[in-house]
Formats: sequence, C-alpha cells, structure tokens
Amino acid sequence: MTNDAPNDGQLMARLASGDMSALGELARRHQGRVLELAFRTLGAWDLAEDVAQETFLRVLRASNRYQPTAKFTTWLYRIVINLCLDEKRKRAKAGVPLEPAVHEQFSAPNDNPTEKEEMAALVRAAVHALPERQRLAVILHRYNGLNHAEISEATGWTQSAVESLLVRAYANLRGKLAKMKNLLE
Amino acid sequence: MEHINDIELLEYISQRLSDVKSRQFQGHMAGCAECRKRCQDAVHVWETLGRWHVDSSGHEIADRIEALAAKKKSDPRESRTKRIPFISSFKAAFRVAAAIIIAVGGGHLLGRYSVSQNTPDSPVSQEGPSYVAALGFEWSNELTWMVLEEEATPGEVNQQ
Repeated sequence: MTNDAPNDGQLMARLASGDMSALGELARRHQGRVLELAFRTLGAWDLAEDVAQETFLRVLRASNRYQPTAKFTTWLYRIVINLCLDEKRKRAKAGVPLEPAVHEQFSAPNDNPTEKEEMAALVRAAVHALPERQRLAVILHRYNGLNHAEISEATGWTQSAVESLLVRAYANLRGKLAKMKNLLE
Repeated sequence: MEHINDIELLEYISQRLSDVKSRQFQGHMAGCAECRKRCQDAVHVWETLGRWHVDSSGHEIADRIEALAAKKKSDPRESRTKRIPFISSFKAAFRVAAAIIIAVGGGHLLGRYSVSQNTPDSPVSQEGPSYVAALGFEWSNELTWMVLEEEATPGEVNQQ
C-alpha cells in the first residue's frame, strides 16, 4: 500500500502551482528542526521564531525556482543559517551583539536546577563558547543530523573546511566538557 | 588497516557511515586499543552533547505562516510590488531614450555652427570660382554648394 504523505519535493511543486496549504504542511513537518536550529544558533526564542517565519516565507517566494537537486532539508537549513548570520551581523552593526546575553543565559541556570538542567546548561555553555563556525558545524552535525558533506552544502564551506571545523570543535568540546564536569564535582 | 581518521570516526559514532565501512572499523577496533579509546571518548562527548534538549513545542509557527501566505496571495498590494522591477526598468529605458534624444538634438543644433560647415562668412564666398561664371551663374553665397575645391590663384601656379 502506498498511501504515503507527499514528500518535500512534491509539496514544493504544489506550492509552486499556488497551493498554499502545501506551505503549511512543509512548515508543520520542519518547524521543529528549523526553530531548534535558529534557537541553538541565536539563543533566544523570539529571534528563533522570527527567523523560522521568514525562512518559510522565503521558501514560498523561491518555490517557482526550486530545483530538487539537493535534499530539501539541506536547502532549508541553508536559508535558516543565512538568516541567523544576517541577524547576528545586524545586531553587531547596531551595537547589540547576541553573544554576551546568550552566554550569560546559558551559563546561569535557574536557582535550584536539577542535575539534568545543570548538565544541559553546561553543554549549552560549552557549545556557545566555541568559535562561531565550529559552533555552527557542531549544531548542524550533532543536532540537525547532517553529515559533513551536507554541512558543506548548507553552509557553502568546502568539505575539507567542514571536516577540519568538526574535528577541532569536538576536540574543543571534549576539553571544555571535562573541565566543566570537574568544576561541578 | 590504518588507524581510523578523525572525521570517519565522527561519522561512525553518529551512525552515518555505510554498513561495510562500519564493519571494517569494528574489525580494526577489536585489535587496536588506541582507536578503541578514541572511539569511547568520542561516544562520550556525543552522548553528553545529547543532554542539551531544546523543546520547540510551545513555539509552533505553521498556522501563522499559512495565514501570512494566504494573506500575501490575496493582497493586491503584493502583485503591485511584483510589478516594481518592470516599472523601474521601464523608467530606466525612458531615461536612456531621453538622454539619446537630447544628445542627438543638441549635437545637430551645434553642428549647424561647426567650422567644417559653410557659414555666411565663409572665405570661399568672396569672389567665387571661375567655373561658376563659366556655367553662366552669378556668384552668391547660395552657390557655395557648387565649390568642389579651392582654386589656386595665378600667382601660386607660377610659383609651382
């Protein structure tokens, strides 16, 4: 029996022909990963929601030109990444960079955190302490399920650059997490 | 088999390596304590990173996006904005055409007073060449168009 839901390419084709419900289906299917990627990158839900919304509106605008040459999610994440980096640049230019607030938020769990919350806060802090490109590579690799070739496609960085970023990022994280764990014990 | 390289180790622990390659790695690690240790460390980091859960369930945006998209589709202002590129390119073309007309028109007007054209004060018009009289015409400025080339005066001929 092949009564499967339409795949992403089919939904994009429907959207290109003017069927707006296809955009709703795409958004419902991918909003979780898109929101999480934007939140992990920017560290604030209001910004993540704005980015996610703009991402799907760009999908709508690009639906006529969309060619299913790459995986839909890789293309989608590329839009998210570009919007997140734009947001960071905009804020840096306006003198309101995200980093300090995000870092503060990530390294200060609530007053009586459970062990689980404490560990999550430590991991967030460790990831956010990475240089930007390493951080983005790890987020896409660990949390969005992209392999290094897909990360290369989504970011526009070369495969060798992505490999090097991932190897350095995981090595850095091993060191940071070990230190943080020692501090907790 | 050589030691497992770093990026392949990462793809192995994230289960994005082919079955064949994964089996090769497992075979290698069975006899290589160093790679076994590297793999254990990498798995530990991988699992620790997994403790950072993000719950986006309170932030659904799909309905909002669908409503926005429907609004954009039905909003006539949206179609007007789509015409903007055409309008601006038409304006640009109009400006270029106007510039060409001004340049050509201005050039034509200025050309009427250029040195190469015969003006009322042209020196050719003073006496007129002899063949004009031979043709039975009385020389005037209106006949300057008949001048083929400037004739040498008798003195100049003798000098040559």
